[in-house]
Amino acid sequence: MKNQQLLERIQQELIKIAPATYEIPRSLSPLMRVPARAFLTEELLQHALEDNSLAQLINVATLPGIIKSAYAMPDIHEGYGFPIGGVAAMDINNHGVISPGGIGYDINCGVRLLRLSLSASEIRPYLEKLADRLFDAVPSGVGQGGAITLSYHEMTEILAYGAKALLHKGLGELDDITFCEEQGSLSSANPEKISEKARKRGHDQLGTLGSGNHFLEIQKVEKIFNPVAAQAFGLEQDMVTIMIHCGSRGLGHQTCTDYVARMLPLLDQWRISLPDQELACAPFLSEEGQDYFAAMCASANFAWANRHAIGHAVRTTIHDVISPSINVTTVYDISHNMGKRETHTIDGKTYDLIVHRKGATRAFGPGHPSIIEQYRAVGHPVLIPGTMGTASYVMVGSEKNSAFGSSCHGAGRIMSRMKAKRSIRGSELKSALEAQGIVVRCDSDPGLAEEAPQAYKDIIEVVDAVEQAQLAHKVARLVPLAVIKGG
Amino acid sequence: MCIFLGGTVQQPHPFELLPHTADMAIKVHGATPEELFSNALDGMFACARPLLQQGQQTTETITVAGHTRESLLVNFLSEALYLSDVHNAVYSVKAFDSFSSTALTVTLIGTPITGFDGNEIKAVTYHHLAITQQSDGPWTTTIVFDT
Repeated sequence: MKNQQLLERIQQELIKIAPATYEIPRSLSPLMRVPARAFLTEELLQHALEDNSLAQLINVATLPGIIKSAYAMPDIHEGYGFPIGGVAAMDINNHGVISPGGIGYDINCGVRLLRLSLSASEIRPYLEKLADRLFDAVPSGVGQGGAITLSYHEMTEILAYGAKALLHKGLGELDDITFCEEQGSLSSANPEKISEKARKRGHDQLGTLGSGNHFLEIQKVEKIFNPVAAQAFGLEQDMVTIMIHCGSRGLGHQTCTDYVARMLPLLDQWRISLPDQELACAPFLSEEGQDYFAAMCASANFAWANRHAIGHAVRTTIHDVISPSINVTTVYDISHNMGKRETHTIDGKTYDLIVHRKGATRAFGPGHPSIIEQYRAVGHPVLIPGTMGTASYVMVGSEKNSAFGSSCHGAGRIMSRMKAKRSIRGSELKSALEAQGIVVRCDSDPGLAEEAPQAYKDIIEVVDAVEQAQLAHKVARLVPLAVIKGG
Repeated sequence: MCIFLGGTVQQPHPFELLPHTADMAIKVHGATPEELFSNALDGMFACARPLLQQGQQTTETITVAGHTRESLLVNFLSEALYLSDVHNAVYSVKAFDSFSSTALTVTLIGTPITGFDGNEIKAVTYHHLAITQQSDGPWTTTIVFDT
């Protein structure tokens, strides 16, 4: 359902303004309040022109209160409302809106990276057994409940305090909180703004991965690009790392659904006209905007608790299978579906903004006060999971980042799940990965096929675009040793 | 698999799976709005490929409202998705007790499942959603699910 006429106009009006940086000027549409800016190489631009992602970016540029530009990260692809890989900041004091679609149904989907005091050669004899045990210890797949069923009161604690609530109960280590974005807990959370339905969906899902592109991966550090930043992050060549990718599960999905349904009927009242219903929004300072923000923060807390619980399960399994003497340390936990209230200076003036990052992460440069003290000198860690069998990257935010300190979150899909399942056999993909020495645990061959590397953009091209656009800089490349995922 | 289930040119199939880059999409048809909604429900769960379990079927009566026909459809499917998640079941329409363009009451039949063999449906979206009727003929819409 591409709008071919619009795509042709975009191609005509696109201006390259810097390396891996294109601008769509406001002249393309009278409804655009700001230009749209896309961080793409020429190859990635061709992918972006194959779906409606740039048209969606233009729609984002029409939202009330949007400031500076609507941004597309290098892994941009078509979402609903906002493109995935989209960043937009709204001026809270100029009728700026908050849009659940600009954050995503999977609120605080994100990535946690752990490092082990173990080398790749040392873990190799244990990989098969470890993969089996982790597949059992961390439920994945559709509709799978987890080992932790929460009472009403326990859920309230987690919604209010996030990962800190679990640490208080003796799960995990202090560094799991210290090295987590927002220390795993947003204080603006209000459990009362989470619906009973959302609570019920989430009550038995703590400690679970979910399905689709969510995964747990055992990796090794294959290459160090930035020794100073790598040292700050505790990463060494050939070191084993573990990457966890998941979010807020059914609780977050329901919360987004609830608030989209609540906001849509009120748009006329706020005199907001939208080109796409999935851009449903409310003025940030309205009752509905504040309720959603509080609910979003509570859902984010649930997601951090989820990754904290999974991290704890991983650590326990490592100690049980290999040795209790192995250190399993959190490098960082980063969110890639989030709305953050942030202060930014633009042309010498300071603004109070609600920054939407959907399929995008924070990437502040060195010295930024929001970066934890231990990493502040080198910059904000950026974790970019790759596709199965390829590579993931650790990067660090650039001081020249021009997109509200933001970067991409992954490789970005280019092939539909349907096409992937039709053209790629999961069993053959599994064999190919195993031939590379990668252990695979997945209970669904179609589920594996959907996540084949061919279904995604080239991660190297994406990361190079991030560098060229000066969003972030490479620190290390991680390659998979074992992949655990649901269907 | 939720692709063609048979049908003629005069009677289009209830639903078909559409390619979508990151999520799942279906195109749904129905002779009436009620049939459209019923087929949409069947299509949504079919896409997720439920693993049916031997056991007692249940019934569930729900009332849903929406400020437009599209929002009514989204809210209806979202309610069924919620029920599926908390009861580990998939649902189909037994009967509409009342149906208008902005509200409905429906009795659903729930079939227990052990899980799904397909993608987790996170939510029902408004993306490309527009319910249309072909000049006194069938009703149709596209629905995209976030997965």
